[in-house]
Amino acid sequence: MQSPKKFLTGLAVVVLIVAVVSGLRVILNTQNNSKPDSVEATSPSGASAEGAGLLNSKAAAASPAPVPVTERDRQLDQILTQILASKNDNDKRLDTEFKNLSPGTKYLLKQKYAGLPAEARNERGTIVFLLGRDLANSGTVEDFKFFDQVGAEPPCRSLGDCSQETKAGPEDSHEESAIGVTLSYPQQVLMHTLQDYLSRQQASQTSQGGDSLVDPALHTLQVMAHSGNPSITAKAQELSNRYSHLKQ
Amino acid sequence: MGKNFSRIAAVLLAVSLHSLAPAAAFAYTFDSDVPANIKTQMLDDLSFVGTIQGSQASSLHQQIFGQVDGATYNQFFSSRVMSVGMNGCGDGNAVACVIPMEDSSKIWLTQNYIKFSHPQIARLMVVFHESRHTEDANNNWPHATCPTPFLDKDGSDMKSIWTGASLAGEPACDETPFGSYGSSMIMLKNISKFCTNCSDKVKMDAGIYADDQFKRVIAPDAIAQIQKDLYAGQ
Repeated sequence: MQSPKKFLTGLAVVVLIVAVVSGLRVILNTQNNSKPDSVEATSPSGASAEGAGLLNSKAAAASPAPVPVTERDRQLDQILTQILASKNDNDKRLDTEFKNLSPGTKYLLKQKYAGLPAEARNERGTIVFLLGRDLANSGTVEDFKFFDQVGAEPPCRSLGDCSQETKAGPEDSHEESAIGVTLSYPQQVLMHTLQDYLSRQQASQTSQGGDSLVDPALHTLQVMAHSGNPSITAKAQELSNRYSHLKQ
Repeated sequence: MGKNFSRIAAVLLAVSLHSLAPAAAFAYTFDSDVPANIKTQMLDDLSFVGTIQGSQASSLHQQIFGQVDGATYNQFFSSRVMSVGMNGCGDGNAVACVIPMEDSSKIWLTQNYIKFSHPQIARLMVVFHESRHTEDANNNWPHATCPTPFLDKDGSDMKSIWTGASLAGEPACDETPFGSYGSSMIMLKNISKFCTNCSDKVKMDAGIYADDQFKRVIAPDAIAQIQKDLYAGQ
């Protein structure tokens, strides 16, 4: 009578082992699929990753936590490179691929921003747009640290060379509106982003009690209000006053 | 025999379909000295405009252009601009200009069209602004002199957000919604509000540039018309 018992016990042990091994395989496979192919905390220059290359911003010195970067993150980075090179702002992938951004994708977007020359106004503004549009889904305090840096950038003086004052030509007053907006385009996009975010918070505050990112958003507006960029400061102060009652 | 007939039929069908396609949207010509990359970029930009579809159009937009629709925009442009050439346009930072005394149906582009990193909608705003200046019948829609003092809604001096110089006394304003500033901002604001196949970025950009250009319309009745047409409830 002991033999069947031993057999059953042995069978149970074998089944258990198989189950454990199978479970481990599933777990390992899952981890491999989302496994970051690298963990990046610093820029190639060794400077703070999030702030690398940004202009004279004290916040750039802050060291962000290591960020896992997956193959998908790198794929999105390459897609954005293609879109920016094409100069096609109506590329549908901007709306289909860049939503619910992962920390790794956001990290690479900020890295890309830092690597662009200051004169790349549309490219920089596009990155601010992508990060700003996703605030409601994936926004973090770290994103607002990046926005603080964008808002504090010194004014771009010339589309050909942001560091140089250029004398306006006779036709330039005619196109001054387009030239002026493009010169401050990343900040214009940021302003639009903050206004959109705060107006939504204001609308939802009565029903949901607001959002923990309201204060960082108001802080970014204050940074912009003191940026010394004449096209930005007045509007930033106006928005700051309008939404200051949301402060928590 | 049967296979050959099928092939011939397929070729004939393809040729027939091709001949049924709309005539080339771009009737204007490019001077031979327009660099290929500038020509390509302009054609790409105008091709994009040609794809736009809108759910509705404001009253002023209907008066100036018609519906928010790519074919309408292409027709507007192609019926005004016959040729595109290269010019320094004052050797400053301009992207494009029209020189009526030289050729009122010609748009001149500068190297800045591709050298500077304008959003696509900003390039188009300038090009459509300039296309309005080709209209001899409307005296090329000359700009008005900005008033002195030229104050914004908060009572502050309106300055160039680029150079910081006052715009008072500059020929950089419009007194009508139908001039170059007014018409191009009406086009962009309609794209921002009603385009159904534009990316979020294009719609945002169109709103940003339109709102800024609106500041160049100075006559109170013109401002009121545009506000009623496009900013009601804002």
